[in-house]
Amino acid sequence: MKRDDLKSANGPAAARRRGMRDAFGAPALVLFASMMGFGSLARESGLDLWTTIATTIGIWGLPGQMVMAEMTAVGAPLFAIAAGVAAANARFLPMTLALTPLLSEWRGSWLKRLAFAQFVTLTPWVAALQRFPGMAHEDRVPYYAAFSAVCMMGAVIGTAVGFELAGQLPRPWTLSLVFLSPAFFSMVLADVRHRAGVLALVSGACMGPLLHGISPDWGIPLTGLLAGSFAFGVDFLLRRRSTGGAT
Amino acid sequence: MNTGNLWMIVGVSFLATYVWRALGMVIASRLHPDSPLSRWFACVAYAVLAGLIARMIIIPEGALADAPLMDKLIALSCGFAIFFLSRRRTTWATATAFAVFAGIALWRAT
Repeated sequence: MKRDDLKSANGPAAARRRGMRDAFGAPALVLFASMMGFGSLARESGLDLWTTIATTIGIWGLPGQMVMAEMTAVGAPLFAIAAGVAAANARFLPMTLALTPLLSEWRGSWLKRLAFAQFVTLTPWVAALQRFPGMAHEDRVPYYAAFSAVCMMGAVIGTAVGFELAGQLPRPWTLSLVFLSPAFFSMVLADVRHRAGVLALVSGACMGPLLHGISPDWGIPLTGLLAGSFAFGVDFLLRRRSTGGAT
Repeated sequence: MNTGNLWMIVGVSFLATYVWRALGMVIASRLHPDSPLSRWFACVAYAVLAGLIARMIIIPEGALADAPLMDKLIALSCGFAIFFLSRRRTTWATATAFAVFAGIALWRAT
């Protein structure tokens, strides 16, 4: 666990370059493509271009954006939209809880921390959880900021392109664009290799659809608690066994 | 719908999302990354994400409701095969899954 001796390779500028480079391929492209789907849906739901782009930046999480557009289209009351979006985006709580401790050495002010929180979303989050443990503390925030900036650029351009192309793409292509995002995240999460993470992913994937069948509202939060605790517990016991109970 | 209402909806949706992020940041800011609690948080987050993605693929709802389960599973299996054959290249694997899915979708449309 002695990781505090990790030295920054070449300072924050190098970390920023690495973050941009890592985001530039598949991550930004997938966000571009999946936000095209959102842009089209938003236009069909009656949003204008600027509110559509503001939604991508402000919510910065596709499932919640979809819910917002769908509920706006049917004229749902404001509080119902708020509740729907909050439920669709509740995953950001455990995600931020898991990411924040990796920034424990960061001396950013509370204002900076609260601004950072806005940029927690799936694509950079997975990259951060994979890379931060082997990265010097002072490189982490610049890396994440650059990675996020490239992702958001792709997402905003995708949103605008989708908005302009609404209704013009043939059906098989819109369907494929929507499929792209779960496919990408399946592959990204398949790259998680530590025992606790693999256990949580496998048990979560099995339990999610089952519990969703029992309760569409609480299935996913319950999956997180049950499958996550199961993975944590098994990993904890195996850790103790391998170190003879020393941890 | 008038523009004022739309901006109101965007603002409220932003806040409804942001509270989760801010809450997580405030609660966890003093935690050590190797503490059992932060390891548990990571497990819960991974389980939630895996559950959500499995639900998106398996349960026919939302925008993917029209795609047959078999199409999605075939495309994903091809993607995973490339993933392990290419020594874990997520980009190639994603491109493969996408191409297979789009191929089947186009073939079904003809």
